[in-house]
Amino acid sequence: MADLVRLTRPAPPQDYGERLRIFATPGQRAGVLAVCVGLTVFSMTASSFWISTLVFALIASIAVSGLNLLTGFSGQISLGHAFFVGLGAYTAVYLGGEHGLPFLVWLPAAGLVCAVTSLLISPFALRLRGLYLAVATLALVFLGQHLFLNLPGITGGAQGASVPQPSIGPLSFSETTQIGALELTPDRKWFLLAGVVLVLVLLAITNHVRSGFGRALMAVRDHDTAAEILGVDVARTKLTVFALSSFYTGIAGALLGSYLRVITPEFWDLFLSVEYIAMLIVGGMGTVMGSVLGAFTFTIVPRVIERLGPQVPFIEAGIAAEGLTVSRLNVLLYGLFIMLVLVFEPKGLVALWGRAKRWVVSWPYRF
Amino acid sequence: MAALFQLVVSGVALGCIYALVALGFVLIFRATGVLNFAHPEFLLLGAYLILTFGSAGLGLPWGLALIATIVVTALIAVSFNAVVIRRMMGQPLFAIVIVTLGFGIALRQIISVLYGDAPRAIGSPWGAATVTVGEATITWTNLITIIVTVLIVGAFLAFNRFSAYGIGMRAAAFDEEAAAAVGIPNRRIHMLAWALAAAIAAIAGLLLASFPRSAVPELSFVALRAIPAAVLGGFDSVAGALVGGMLIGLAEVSVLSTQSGYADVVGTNFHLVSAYVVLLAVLWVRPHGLFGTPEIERV
Repeated sequence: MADLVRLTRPAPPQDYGERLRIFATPGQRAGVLAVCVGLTVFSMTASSFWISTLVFALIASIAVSGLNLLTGFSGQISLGHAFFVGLGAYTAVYLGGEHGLPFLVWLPAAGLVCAVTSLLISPFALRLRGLYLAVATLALVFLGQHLFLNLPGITGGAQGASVPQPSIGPLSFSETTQIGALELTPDRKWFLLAGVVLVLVLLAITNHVRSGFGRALMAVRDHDTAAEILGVDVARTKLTVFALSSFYTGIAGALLGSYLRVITPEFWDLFLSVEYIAMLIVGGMGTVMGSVLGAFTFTIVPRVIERLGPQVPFIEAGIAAEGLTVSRLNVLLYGLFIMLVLVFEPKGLVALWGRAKRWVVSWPYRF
Repeated sequence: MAALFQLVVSGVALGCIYALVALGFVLIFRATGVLNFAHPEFLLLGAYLILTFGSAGLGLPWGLALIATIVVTALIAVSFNAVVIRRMMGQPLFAIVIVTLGFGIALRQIISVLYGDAPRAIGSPWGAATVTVGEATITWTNLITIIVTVLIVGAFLAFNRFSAYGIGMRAAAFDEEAAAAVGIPNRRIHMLAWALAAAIAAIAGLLLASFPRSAVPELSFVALRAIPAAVLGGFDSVAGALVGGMLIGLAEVSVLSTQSGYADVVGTNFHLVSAYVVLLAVLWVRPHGLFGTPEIERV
């Protein structure tokens, strides 16, 4: 039996260099590449409904990856990320819309503003732990929404504000460009933009995690007092990870706001935070791919239900419909889906994937 | 003077509701270590099930409808615990918290499908009646809320202090394994905690939906404001939940009545977020709330 396992599984890494590689095996690298290419080809042929679904999934992946750095890798629970997403979006409104700065300035600036804000409120993050921190960040969402509503000079108040559209040099994201036979619609451009930003963010996070800083993060997550005794500067680690996580989330917020075009304060509510946390947990906390998997699943599943909804019996259609409408069914299934995944695999979809892989590798021995 | 008295009464009444909801959060947290995000929906169940059992639905007398509402809400909570939460014991806490969240989301939609989103009067027997004390006019709803809360809290404290199950619950909250070792049936204790929390939430929901308010899905936001109440008292403390609820209720009502004077500074509807300001202020001084147990670290 042992011989068989040795035959079918790659040898464990022999040195640190091998262990720290971004892709553990050539197969993994090929797989990731294939997914990227596959999605790109799909986005160049699919209808705009599915492309926009993909764009939302990519943007959500960026936000969830930022949250994952904080919650998954360093164990600081935050229910407040909706605030940072909103803050990023309003920074885009203020800098890109009001002051007319170019896209390549306001996108990173949205991240920076969020990072600085998170440092301003970080004294709470250092003093509070676990549940108390979670509820203090819950306060952040409500106070943030209150601010967004009551600062109409920047946010447009309850009427909402329109967010500038990105443009890089001659490439404008609000009109279609023709390249040979390929028609680059705004949606397709958005897909490429969000995809590139996501890949950059994922690379950055992978590098954070496999550096000394990343090991400090995980030490703080597993036991912060023990980490401190081992020589980890816990306060500095927590501050840095808060700022980094808010930075990535702010960038996701600026992209999301810009893709939505018009944003109102109600959008950045607790449900958005909760959605991101659900994506994180259902995907698998503390793994880089888990965040992406969770974000894609939770963005695509509701859109599929939305499409299939009218065909299901007992569904009442129309705007004024009461009873079981498509949107209610959608949210209902969403709640049930979260429950089902976590009851059967509390470590998330990533663990499910690992289980499936082991099942194939050890076939026909199913243990 | 009369206005102030009226204000204090409505503040205390609101504080009572927060205290009841916070008590539910604390009960479940002490038993299972989980922040139950489905609690707001238990509140809604209380407000809506009375429509089914009461004069608007099956036409049971008010008392019977009340009991049926409480029992069904408790049964739903207990079966959720038995079917889902028990299966997940030993898993990461965070995953369990998100499961309660998923349950809450699903439950809310089921309520919406069955009852719609429009406000519905629940027809409590005291209706819109008021009493006049001196010059102050006080609604029966507020008065009954205060009386019922005092009764429930008194009964609960007696149960917690004197009955075998109450003592078992405290023992299990203190150290679950040690409690199991001396023969305390943890499984039944968990069930009891869920049942009690849900029953209390149902009553709070009923009171919350009585005149001048009505049963609307937005009532669940009230339960969200009870989370700061539970936390600022200290999440594992029953007394903390009561004090925290009262503080938040009084703060909210006093901000509501005075905010027009300084609306240009704090913005409109500041009372809806005042709970969170109080929360942050308290946590700044005492990171484990007013009565919470500070963690002791073993390395």
